[in-house]
Amino acid sequence: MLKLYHWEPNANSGKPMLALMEKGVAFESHYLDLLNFDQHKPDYLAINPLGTIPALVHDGKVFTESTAIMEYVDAAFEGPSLTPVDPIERWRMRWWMKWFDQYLAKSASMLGWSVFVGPSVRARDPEELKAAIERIPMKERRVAWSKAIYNTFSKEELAESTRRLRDGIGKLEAALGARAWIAGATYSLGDANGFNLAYALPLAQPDVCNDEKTPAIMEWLRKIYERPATRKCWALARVPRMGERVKFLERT
Amino acid sequence: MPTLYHWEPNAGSLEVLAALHEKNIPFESRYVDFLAGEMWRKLSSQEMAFAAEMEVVSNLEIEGPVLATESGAALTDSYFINLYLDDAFAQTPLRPADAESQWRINVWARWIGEELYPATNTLGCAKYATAKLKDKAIETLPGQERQDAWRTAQRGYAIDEIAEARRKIAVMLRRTEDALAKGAYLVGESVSLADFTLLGASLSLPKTAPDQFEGAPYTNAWLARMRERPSVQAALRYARSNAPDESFAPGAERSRWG
Ligand SMILES: N[C@@H](CCC(=O)N[C@@H](CS)C(=O)NCC(=O)O)C(=O)O
Repeated sequence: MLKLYHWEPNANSGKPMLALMEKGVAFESHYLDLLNFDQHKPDYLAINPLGTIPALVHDGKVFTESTAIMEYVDAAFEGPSLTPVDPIERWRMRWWMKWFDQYLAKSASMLGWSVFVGPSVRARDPEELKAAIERIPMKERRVAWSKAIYNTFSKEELAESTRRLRDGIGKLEAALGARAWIAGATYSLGDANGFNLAYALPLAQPDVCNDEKTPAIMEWLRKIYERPATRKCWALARVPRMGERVKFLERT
Repeated sequence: MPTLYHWEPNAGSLEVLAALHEKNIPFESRYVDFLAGEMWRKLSSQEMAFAAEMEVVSNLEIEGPVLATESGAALTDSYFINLYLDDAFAQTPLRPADAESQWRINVWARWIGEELYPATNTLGCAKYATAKLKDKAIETLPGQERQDAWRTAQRGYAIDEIAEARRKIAVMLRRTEDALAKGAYLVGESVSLADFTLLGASLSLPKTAPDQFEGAPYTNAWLARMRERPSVQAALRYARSNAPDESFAPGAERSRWG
């Protein structure tokens, strides 16, 4: 029995969703509304006491950490392999997943929380929001939510995130200009991981990420977007803005 | 034969040196003084043609070992180098074959890489490196992040940065105590890559956070056991100083978000 607890099909939630879709592994989808703080409710804390999403439950065992879940899904289930055979390509796949997760995604997420997550909840009853923050188990996530809700990001940290995003676009373009897929000759978990974050780059930084300046990124995003698994994955979007915004990748 | 560019056996250099010896992989050792910025000086003298590559310049570990493979690839990130070694050299596997154990090892590596390594690096740089970081070395470094990491270590750490590092160490020691109370190693019945990653991140703790480390008896006993392994002893023999556990160069930054 396989259950996946997730939010929208992007960022950390989208990583195991897309891996499962690519493998063709059926799972029970448990949608948690991140903007409604579902991930901090007792039912879910009983599954993942850290109160973060996603979490996978397989035969009663709980698996967390989105990228590690992707690798687990690939190793534990039948279906097309999403890990290159060549040890150097495997290394490159892992290297880039870490760079996506811990470099690019941190910056993209900080900006996303300042322009989308924060404004989406800010208007609610202040007492209710205060209590919601107090219920968050991890200190790091409490700090993130309180910055988003009270809009207390420093100018410097937002500027640094923007710098990293723009600089990272150049690095990603160079890598994808040299190889068909992020790890080498074949589509891998690294591409699925990267897509969850990079689909938003042309939307967030249109002057530096576009058909003219970053053709390799744009082609890579379109190739991933047209895969049947990606379609199926994004069909699970519920927030209208999320499901709609990926459609610019449709080839005309 | 692969070549490992490494420094004193602490942190990532220790992590990879010990795994190479545990697996009995023949390799060439090239000692590089990270703190003097030697890796990057050699880059400008063309001695290391690969050092300009993205995965070398933008390695999130900041200063760490580089494995040059026989086929000419330059691999960085200690844990990923070790996974490569385990994938490419079949002898003495350092991961159990089942997907669940491999997931566990990946999660340990993620926690240690994202939380414990930055925390021990902060305490280690504060105690042993800050005063030794020279503007002249910093100016020649490639990449904004690397320059920033060196400048941060050079200016020293505020009280709240030290406190946050100690908090992270406390969180991680609770996790290692839980795991090591149940078994001799972090994952499964025998030593795995998770143990080598923890070894690199924790060798210095008896000196940088003695009070915290003393309160973690299972992790203490584990470190003593690890230090007795022939592979770890062999790795420690690459030291040129008499205290490799005091060797720190600017490392991974602590997470900026979440
Ligand atoms: N390292 C974890 C991070 C998980 C994480 O922080 N997820 C975010 C969503 S992308 C979350 O749960 N945020 C909700 C919250 O903090 O309340 C992973 O990769 O799974």
